[in-house]
Amino acid sequence: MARRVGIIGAAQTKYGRKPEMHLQDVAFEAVQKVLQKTGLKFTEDGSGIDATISCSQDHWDGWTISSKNVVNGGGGHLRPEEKVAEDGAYALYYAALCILGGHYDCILVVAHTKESQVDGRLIENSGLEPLYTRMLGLDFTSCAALQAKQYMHTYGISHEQCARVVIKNRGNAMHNPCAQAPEILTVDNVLGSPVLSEPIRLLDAKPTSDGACALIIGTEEKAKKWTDKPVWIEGLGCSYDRHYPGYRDLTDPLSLKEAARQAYGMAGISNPRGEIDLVELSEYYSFQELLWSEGLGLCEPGQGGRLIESGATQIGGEIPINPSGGLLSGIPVNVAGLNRAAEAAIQLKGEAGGRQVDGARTAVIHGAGGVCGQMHCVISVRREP
Amino acid sequence: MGERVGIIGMGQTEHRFIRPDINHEEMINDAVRLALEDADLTIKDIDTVIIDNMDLFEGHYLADGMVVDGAGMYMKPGLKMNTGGTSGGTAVATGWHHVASGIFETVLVIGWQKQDASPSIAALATAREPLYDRGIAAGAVGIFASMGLSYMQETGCREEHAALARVIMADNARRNPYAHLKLDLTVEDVLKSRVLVWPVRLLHMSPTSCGACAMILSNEKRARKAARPPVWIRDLETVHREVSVFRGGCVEPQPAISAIEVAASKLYKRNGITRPARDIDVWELYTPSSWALFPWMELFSICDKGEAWRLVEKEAIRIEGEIPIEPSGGVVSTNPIGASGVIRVAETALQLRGEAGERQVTKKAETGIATAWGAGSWIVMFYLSKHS
Amino acid sequence: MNEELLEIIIPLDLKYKWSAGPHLGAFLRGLKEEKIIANRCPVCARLQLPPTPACGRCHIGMGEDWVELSHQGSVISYSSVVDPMFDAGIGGMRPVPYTIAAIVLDGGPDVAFFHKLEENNPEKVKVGMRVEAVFRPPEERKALMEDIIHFRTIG
Repeated sequence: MARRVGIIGAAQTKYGRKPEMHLQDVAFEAVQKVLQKTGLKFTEDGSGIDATISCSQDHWDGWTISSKNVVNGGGGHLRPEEKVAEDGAYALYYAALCILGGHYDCILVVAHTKESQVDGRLIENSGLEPLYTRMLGLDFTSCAALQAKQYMHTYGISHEQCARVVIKNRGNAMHNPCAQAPEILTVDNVLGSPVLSEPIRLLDAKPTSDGACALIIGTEEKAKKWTDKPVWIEGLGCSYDRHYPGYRDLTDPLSLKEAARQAYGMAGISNPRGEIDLVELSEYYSFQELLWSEGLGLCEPGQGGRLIESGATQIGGEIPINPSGGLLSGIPVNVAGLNRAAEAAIQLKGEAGGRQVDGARTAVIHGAGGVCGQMHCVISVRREP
Repeated sequence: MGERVGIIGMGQTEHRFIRPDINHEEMINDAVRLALEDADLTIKDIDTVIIDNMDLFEGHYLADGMVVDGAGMYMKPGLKMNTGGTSGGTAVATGWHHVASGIFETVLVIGWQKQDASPSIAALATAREPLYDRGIAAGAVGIFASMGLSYMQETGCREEHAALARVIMADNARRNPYAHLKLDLTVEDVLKSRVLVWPVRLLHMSPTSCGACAMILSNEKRARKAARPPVWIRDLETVHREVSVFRGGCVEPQPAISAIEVAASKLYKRNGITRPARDIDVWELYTPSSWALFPWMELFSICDKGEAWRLVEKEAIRIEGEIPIEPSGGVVSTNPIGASGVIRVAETALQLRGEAGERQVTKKAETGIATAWGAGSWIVMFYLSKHS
Repeated sequence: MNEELLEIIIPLDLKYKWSAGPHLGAFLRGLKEEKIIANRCPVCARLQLPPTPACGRCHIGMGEDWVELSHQGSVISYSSVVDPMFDAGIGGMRPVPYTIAAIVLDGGPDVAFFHKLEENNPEKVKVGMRVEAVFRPPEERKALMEDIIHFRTIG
């Protein structure tokens, strides 16, 4: 990239079920926190935030034009606001392109969702083509179960290896004050939890969660001015696979590989395992952390199980994955990808406390959407030495 | 600033109340093929795809994912945007930023809506706070009724003038092969049509259309080699505003400061446009109701406050007139919501190419303004020119 | 203040009418006639099930190469669904457990067909298992996915 885009600040709500809060309150809390942290304001003259890019979904909000819920609190009043109706990582991806295009110098990116206000499985069901897959009563969990089974069968991945993802991530969350479900778990806890859709058990899936996340990004000049620890966005990529899961080899995440290829190419990363210090990825189900690790080129196809067993993905390991606790510790859909970005930025700024990856300089952010990970977004970030 | 952005291809489907013959992916595919044909490109030449619709109208969550094959998005980067009525405008703006960033040479922008899937008014009702005014709001009609009412009170405008505006748009639509409603109307016909919320009558409101519009944007290098003469999107501005305060009954008060005024003043200032009526040759304004035309014309500074109805009375807004507005027939003739914003930009670009056929404006068209409007008061505004 | 939280349930009961269109429509009409119909890409010759207007991989229109697939095939993945799920087809909760499967039909190796299995005991389901579609009687078919009741185990 000819110009650089820097992450200036990030903030999030604590995640969890929030029956006490309106949608707008949830979004506003994250926005207020990031404004306080950075000291920036919405301005007209280039002395602050120029525009807002939000991320939410009409279906989850039960509200057509769901960004109406962030206009008041998110700086959209008589100002530019645009909504990306995809995962939050895409909102950051788009915001970075807007800065590169030169129309805006500083953008607030905000994502919100209250999963608890609706039966999410019905939303997911309406995310499937209506006359073919939707009528079968599938949701993203039952489709992911088919993906899990095929992946485990093809490569001999064990359920215990998947359970280790849950144990690692929920354990990492013990050090994350925003996490919804920090817990010390055992393999027996995971394998003994109720079955949702075999082989996926309750603890293999992310819990229902509410919350919001906000980031402020800017041009190189603005980022250097407004933070002494800018985190630079160096690689951007995203890609679509085909819709019907039956069309895809579910054990081969092609669109993830393509998104990673774009991002790594832009950032000049040729050996992801060696060059990346930590990864925040979107594991909606435990097995997906293993499969996505393969797609991100952190290990060979089918080696995701060995990767977790080796301990390499622990905090302190060779390539820590989800030191924040990941989605399995409870992050709402849509917010997920932006939360990954916030956590990566916190790590590279060295502000991650007990979950800090020592000396972390480069990180990869991953967002996913659709049934069985149909679309993926990959963003690579780096801090100055 | 970043790369210059040119429009090098566009295509739209026919627009109708119902398209039971086709599903949404097939409809999108039709528009994409026409745009590629127009640009003399294949889908392999496209670097990224931006798509928009309003999700709850068809009930598809992640609708972008469902149409990957038809939209040509397989293994390509892309985004789904949704900002309500402005969605089509937002999608074009998103494409613009993608090209401007220097990372993408060619961007395919697709707007679509298939309003035969459910009663749109039901989905539109969810635009309101569920625990407050969702049960009693009158949707978009109430907004335009409020506009019309106060406009008549403040100026000498009468119902006949709004009816004449509607007649002019219908006349334009009959010259546009893609328009949905091609009505042969008189002022009396409009005045006789059923009142929805006075003074808004049925014929004052846009139809619920099914349709798709695709557009190909490119950087300057690519645009200079394009099959058709490129039209440049010189500048753009997006302005939203807080959700208007509900005040009794079924009408909304007009906001004190309009998002349109804010957007227009910024865009004009940056581009040295001092007298819009003189500096801009053609306008596609996204007027969902003929009653919106008068406040729109004034907020975009096409004329002074209180004067818009006089320009309509003089029929200056006609295709042959001094200030041609909605030569396509406008949103009031054709409204596949998610596509409407894209269509405004495409129709303006067609005028600047000089390829608008029977609806080509008489005056020499070198500059144009295209807009998208939605969510009660939001605006996306584009300044187009034949010259880069 | 220690008040009860105000959480108000408001159903969002929208009815949708979706057009099947010529491609998916051909498949659904086929079900009514006890046929499973795919279309074939004129470039890469891959089968599309369900039929689509364009081949996403080749970015090309599909033409009229319709292919009828076998009713028999092999399970490549399956799951026993235990957590009850609302079923739009019956307007209520679907009884659990039921078994869903990805099935590669004979003659259609490019794509997997998703449907339910008759066999509800996960112990008895295996990857590679042979299955066959069981259709409803002709008078009960409605050109819907449920025109196939499920896939039964064979061989």
